Amino acid sequence: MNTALTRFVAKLFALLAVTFALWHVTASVLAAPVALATAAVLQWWLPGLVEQAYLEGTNFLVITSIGEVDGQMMSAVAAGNQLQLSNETRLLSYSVPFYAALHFATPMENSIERFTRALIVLWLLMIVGLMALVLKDMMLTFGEVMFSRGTLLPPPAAIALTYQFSVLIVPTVAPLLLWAYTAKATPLLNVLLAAANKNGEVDDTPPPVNTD
Amino acid sequence: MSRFVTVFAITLLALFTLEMLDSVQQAVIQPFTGLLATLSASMIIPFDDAVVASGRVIEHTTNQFAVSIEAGCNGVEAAIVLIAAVAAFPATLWQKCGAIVVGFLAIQVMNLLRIISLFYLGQWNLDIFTWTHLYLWPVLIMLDVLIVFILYLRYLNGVDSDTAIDAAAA
Repeated sequence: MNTALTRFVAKLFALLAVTFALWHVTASVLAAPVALATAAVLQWWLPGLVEQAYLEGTNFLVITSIGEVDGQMMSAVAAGNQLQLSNETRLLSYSVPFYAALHFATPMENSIERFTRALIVLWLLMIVGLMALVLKDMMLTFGEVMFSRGTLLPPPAAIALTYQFSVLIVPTVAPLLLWAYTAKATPLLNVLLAAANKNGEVDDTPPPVNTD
Repeated sequence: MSRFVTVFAITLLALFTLEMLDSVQQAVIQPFTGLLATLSASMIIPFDDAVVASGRVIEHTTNQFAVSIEAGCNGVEAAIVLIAAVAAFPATLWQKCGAIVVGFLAIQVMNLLRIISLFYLGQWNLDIFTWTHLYLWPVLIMLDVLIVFILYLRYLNGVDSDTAIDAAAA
């Protein structure tokens, strides 16, 4: 590995230690906008299933309007109890320290502004991921009751696939893609992408605009 | 760039969906995951004879701590990401096949290290095991994919890339 790449990797690992340590103590703050948005969407989309949703620490809690008596799912009023679902938001939010390490290991102009834009994209992806987590939990817990009380719900296979994709692929791949896009004009990325032009790929992205 | 992103996204989604099919899980993924458990145990046993592997489970017979290697912990998703990236990048078929084979091996070497490290971390501290398992190792495995892909791009870019990258980064 050449010295530039070695320097980049060394800087990246050093930053990973810092960003993951910061994330460990601020994970609930980072998840707060995602939890607020997800709660609002779920309560609007599935009023017959979701009564309340909020963040407690790093756990996203969903208080449902479904209860259970002797293993039978029914309305919370009839059952006299309410089932609660809990999802760990860190399963999705660790994409943020990963992206932050990649971003700040790559010198670029307008770094903070670009980081903020990327963070917004990661938050949007986390909203989709958190909704997929909740829908998967509801599907496994409530079964048919979920589909009878919910409207415009995707089929079970789509929920399962979106959940798997959101947990297994998005948190690690989205930061890489965002970094490649954000850092596309940096010297290191430019030289690496020159291989694309050499092999017939055409770089059709416009040059970045300096907003300073 | 847009062509790369399009082919990458389509290949990634197609391979991931294929991986999730029950028939593929039964015929390919689960036997492969079992093989990983056996391989991990065979690497540990020369240094620790209190370890046994059964199916996808590795167990320490002294303290009964056991880990089960499940889908998502076998490096297949990371391999799918690498395959999608290599497939999306213009190169000859042989170059692509070579990159996929070498990259898959690099991912699995890293994954064996992950399994063994988690097996001993779990015996030491369950909180650190969970944190490392769920958040840290997925990132390290994906960085492995990134480094393999960057090295592949350097290979495609020719012998002058070292000098060019150093000059560009200076």
